[in-house]
Amino acid sequence: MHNRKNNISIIFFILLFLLAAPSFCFCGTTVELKTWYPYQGIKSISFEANALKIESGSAMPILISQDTLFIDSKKHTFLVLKIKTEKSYSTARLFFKRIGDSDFNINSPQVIPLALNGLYHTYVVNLKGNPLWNGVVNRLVFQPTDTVEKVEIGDMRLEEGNLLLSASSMWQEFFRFEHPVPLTINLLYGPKISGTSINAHIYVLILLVFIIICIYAFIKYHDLSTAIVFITSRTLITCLVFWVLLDMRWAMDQLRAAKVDFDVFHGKSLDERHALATYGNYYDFYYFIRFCGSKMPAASTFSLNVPPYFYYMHEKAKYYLYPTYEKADGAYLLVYDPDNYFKGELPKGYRPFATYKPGQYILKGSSQ
Amino acid sequence: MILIKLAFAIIFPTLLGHIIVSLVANKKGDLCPLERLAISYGIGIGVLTFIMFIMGAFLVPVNLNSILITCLIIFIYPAYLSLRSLSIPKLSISYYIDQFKSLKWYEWLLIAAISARIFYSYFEALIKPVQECDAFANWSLRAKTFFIDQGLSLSRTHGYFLGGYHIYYPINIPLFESWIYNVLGAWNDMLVNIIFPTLLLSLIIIFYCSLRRVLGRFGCLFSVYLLTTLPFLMYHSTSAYMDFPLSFYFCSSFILLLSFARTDNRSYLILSALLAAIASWTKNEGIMLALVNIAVLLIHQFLMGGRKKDAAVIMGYYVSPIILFFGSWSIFKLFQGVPAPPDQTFHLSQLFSNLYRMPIIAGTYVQKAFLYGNWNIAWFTFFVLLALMLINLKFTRETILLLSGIVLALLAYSVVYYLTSSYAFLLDGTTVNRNFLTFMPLVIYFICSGAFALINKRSENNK
Repeated sequence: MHNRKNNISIIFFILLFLLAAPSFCFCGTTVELKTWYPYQGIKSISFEANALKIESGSAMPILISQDTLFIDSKKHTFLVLKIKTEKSYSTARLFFKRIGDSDFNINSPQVIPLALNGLYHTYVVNLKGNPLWNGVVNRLVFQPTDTVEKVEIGDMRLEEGNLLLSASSMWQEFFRFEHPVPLTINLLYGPKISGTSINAHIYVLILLVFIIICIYAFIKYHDLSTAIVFITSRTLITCLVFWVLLDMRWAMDQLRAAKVDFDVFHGKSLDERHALATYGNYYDFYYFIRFCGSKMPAASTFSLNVPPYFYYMHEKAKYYLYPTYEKADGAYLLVYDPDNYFKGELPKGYRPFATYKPGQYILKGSSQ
Repeated sequence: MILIKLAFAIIFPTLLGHIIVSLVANKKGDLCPLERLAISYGIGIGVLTFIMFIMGAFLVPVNLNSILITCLIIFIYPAYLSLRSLSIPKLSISYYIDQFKSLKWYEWLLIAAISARIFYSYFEALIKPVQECDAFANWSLRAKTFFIDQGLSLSRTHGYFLGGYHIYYPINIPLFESWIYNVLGAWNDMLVNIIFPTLLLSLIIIFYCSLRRVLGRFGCLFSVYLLTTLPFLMYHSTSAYMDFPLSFYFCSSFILLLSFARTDNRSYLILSALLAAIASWTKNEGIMLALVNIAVLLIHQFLMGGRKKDAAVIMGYYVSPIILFFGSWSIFKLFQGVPAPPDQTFHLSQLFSNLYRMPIIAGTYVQKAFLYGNWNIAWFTFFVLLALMLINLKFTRETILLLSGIVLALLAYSVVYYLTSSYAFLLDGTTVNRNFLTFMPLVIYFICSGAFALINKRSENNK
């Protein structure tokens, strides 16, 4: 009788757990993010077939939400974004403003690297990794891409954390492709889980294995020196095994980088490759430079007028244009202003010489 | 046709290097044939560019014809001598077939993984032109300038003096790039990238052959595989930055120094000295790393004891090529009025006021070594191994020398950060990983030789 009672209570608890588990694993409250207003860099925007269709006109297309969201950031820690991009490996960014903030978190946005093109893909982002995601958020700014392309947002919402979302975001984070960028020459971030380097997780795992090895060795071998020798070899083997496992993850990234480079550069002429090797969305800079090279006589001097955020264009121009060379107050002034930063104002002492495109032209010194 | 020219551009300096290597290591069994070629490539680059530099410094036009004629004049007699002493290795095909047949499946797997990495490096380097900022803004710009100006661009009124940008940096690789342009007859900054994966291939061969003298085949293959698992090293082997070539020269030189310590064969010593000298001719940090080698050689001499006169002769052997390469470049810079690099000027007066930098330098090192993706878990394994070695008291002379090299290189960089304004580059994360890159292959060498020694000790105990 007593046993039967026990069995019933066990079954009751199992049933209770099974009923509660889905809510623990999969449920939680949701904040739908459906209302967006174009702010800048958007060529066209429409809502068709349950998707927000955007055509970006610059590298910084910005959508802004209403300013009365009042999101409890402690509660809603996961961003679920279903998005389709035209190009591969562009980046979306989420900025937010909390009650009391004078501005958006421009310096530490939530960066969402987008991997696939042409297909809908759902990204689950753990916002806990962003140090500023706390307090009450009342307004969001969303940059769906960082290039000129068409983007479709099928779904965007903030969710309360649960096991499934956590696992999903960890998985995506671990396998996220670290696409080489100019900074890669100094640093590779490497895979992360919940915002922490995968290396740290591996160290903890190795430590745990080490403890198990130690316990096993001291139980099995009663001689200290034999135990130490055993522990030594097994610990080293453990490190090497994790090393090889992590390398497989790196090999995937290298393969993906090779694939991207193959898609971008294969079958192109050297000139086209030079143009494509200019990072960002200003591939035409190389063609402008080539145009300048054909117009200026060899060994003449030039100065380059570009907006301040094009710092390394100076170096590119110097590199590609030699034997004409850069000099302060050069005989020619090369103006590359695709974003109309200078508002068409001509510097003093120069007159128009040749035009490549609107916003891309050569001026010649009046004294020449 | 362009590929034939490219092949010539690589084979010619390798032949020059081979003449020197054959004269130095003329005994059978000193070096295996592939190792000989790998070292020849590195030394050949340095010697060829040094000749181009001397020509340029004396205002002789540096073009294909003049370079070939000069090399012919300089190398005709050494080539004759090396041919006379050359013993062509017998190629026994059946021997190689047997070797391949005896490979186990897991060794095939390792060979496949290493080959894939080498292929990746060649593919990534050759599919796109020079892309990274410092690569084109400094190194490749200088190469292009030297090629177009057919010399060292020494005019102060026209063009970029000494090729422009960081003119205080040595010009080994820019001159080699301009050599390739000269052979191709055109500026092609995509094909020129072949230099870097070929250096990786050479490093892998030198690494393998050196370890093969102390480890079994599986151990060596696994070690080489580990070397190719360093993501940052692999990335740099595809780019036109100078940190990887410097890493090649320093680490090859160090590995040959270890071979000298192991065998007392002076051929290794001279080859090591030549590579160290070319390291000082590749990047400014190279001289510091050459000094690390000298210090390690001193430690070796100290551990070995022996006559002081012999030690002096050995040091003489080692220092001479370094003086030749580094000294010539320094004198040239002095004559041309090239300023010292502003960020590498030592401020000894700040010796005590910079104490606050110490924890920051150490903290940055720890962060970059352990918590980023640059080095897989190599540094962690290194420290685990070190701890286990201490527990087992298993230090050989070789591991002591390796450890000294790694620690001294690390200390040397720390001193630079401590006493110069390069500290800014530590803070912005620009250079630390690239500094680590220059000696990382030695860390892998240490891990492999140490780990296999410890694991083998266990099997011996079990027997």
